[in-house]
Amino acid sequence: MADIHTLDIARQRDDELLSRLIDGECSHDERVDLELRLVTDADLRARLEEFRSNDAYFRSVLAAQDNSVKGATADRLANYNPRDDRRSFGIYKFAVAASLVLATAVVMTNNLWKSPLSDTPQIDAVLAQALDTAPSTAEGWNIIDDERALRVVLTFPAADGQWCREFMLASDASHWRGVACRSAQSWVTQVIGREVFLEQQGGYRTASAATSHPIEQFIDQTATDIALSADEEIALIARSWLTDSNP
Amino acid sequence: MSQLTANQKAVLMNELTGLKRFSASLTGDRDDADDLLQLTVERVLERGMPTDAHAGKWAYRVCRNLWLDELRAREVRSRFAKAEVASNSDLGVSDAGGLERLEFERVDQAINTLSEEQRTVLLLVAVEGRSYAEVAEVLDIPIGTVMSRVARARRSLAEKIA
Repeated sequence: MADIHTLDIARQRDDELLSRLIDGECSHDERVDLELRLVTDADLRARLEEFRSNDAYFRSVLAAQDNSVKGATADRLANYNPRDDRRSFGIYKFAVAASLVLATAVVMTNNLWKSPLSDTPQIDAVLAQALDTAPSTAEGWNIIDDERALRVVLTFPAADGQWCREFMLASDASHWRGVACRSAQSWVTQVIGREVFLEQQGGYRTASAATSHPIEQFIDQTATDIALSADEEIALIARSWLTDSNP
Repeated sequence: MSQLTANQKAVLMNELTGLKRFSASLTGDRDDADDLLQLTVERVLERGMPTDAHAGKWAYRVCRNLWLDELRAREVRSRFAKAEVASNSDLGVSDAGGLERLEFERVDQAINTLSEEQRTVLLLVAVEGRSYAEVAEVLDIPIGTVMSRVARARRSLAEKIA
């Protein structure tokens, strides 16, 4: 009986690890260990697929439910007159509001922005895969390999019909902020610059407040619409970036 | 509290559908979900939020707190009247056909047998794409609890659907 109990605890631990892997919440070491086990452990692979499949079921069931918002509620919000912002910030500031408000400190020196740079990070297969699949988030990092952590900040449509993503890339050596656009199933860097992210109280904030930021300029000039909502982005990722309403 | 900014309003508009799903997950009832969403929007618009607050997260927290208030009120009322148990089948699943519908209903039933806590946390993570840290913030629970609750939800769902 003790063995059964031990097995069940081990199973629960594995379930939690698999769950965190699916959600992108594993540490780098945990992910590496788990992926090695997945290569050799068919039961574990099956369990992972079962979880992913059930997640998909869950999403499809919810998608089929009546998620419409009552007209009165939507109208109440639509007719609400917000406080005027002092300046017109455009899409970039919208995205900042949606993604970076939890951060608590900002430090950047203007001379950190140098583009192009000889050591500018390239979008290799690992980074491209992460750009393909990682949802945008206001906090947290997606450890993509031994040396790099990625946070995708937002997704927006460009005038030429491509989807573009603003991202932050951190390594021991440098921190970068850039925009890559998806073209012919690959990601191409459009603008990138070195930046300093200072961590305070568990959050990060970059120099996004600087209105002369090259990223902001790029997005203002390129974007044809506001950034995708979380739902829209999840749906787009699920469709492998293919959509009838491709901008 | 200050009036919402234009950006906060825009974020809130984009979050409405997700908030509706969140409301439905909390209440397990379509009509209650509509009412809860309406109350949430009213509360946010009436009381505003700090200028630097993320409108989405703020609204989710308001929604959850309003539902907790409602649950407390219902508990008081139930001392004097028999509580009416809402049917989870009242979530407004759209029509599908034949075998697909049977499978759909089986999964739907499995989801509805999850506890509210498990259903809500799985919704926020697996459907809304929230990080564990964000869910912890919205639900006001430790991140470790989010982690274990999501795993238990997936485990339960696997057992029920299998």
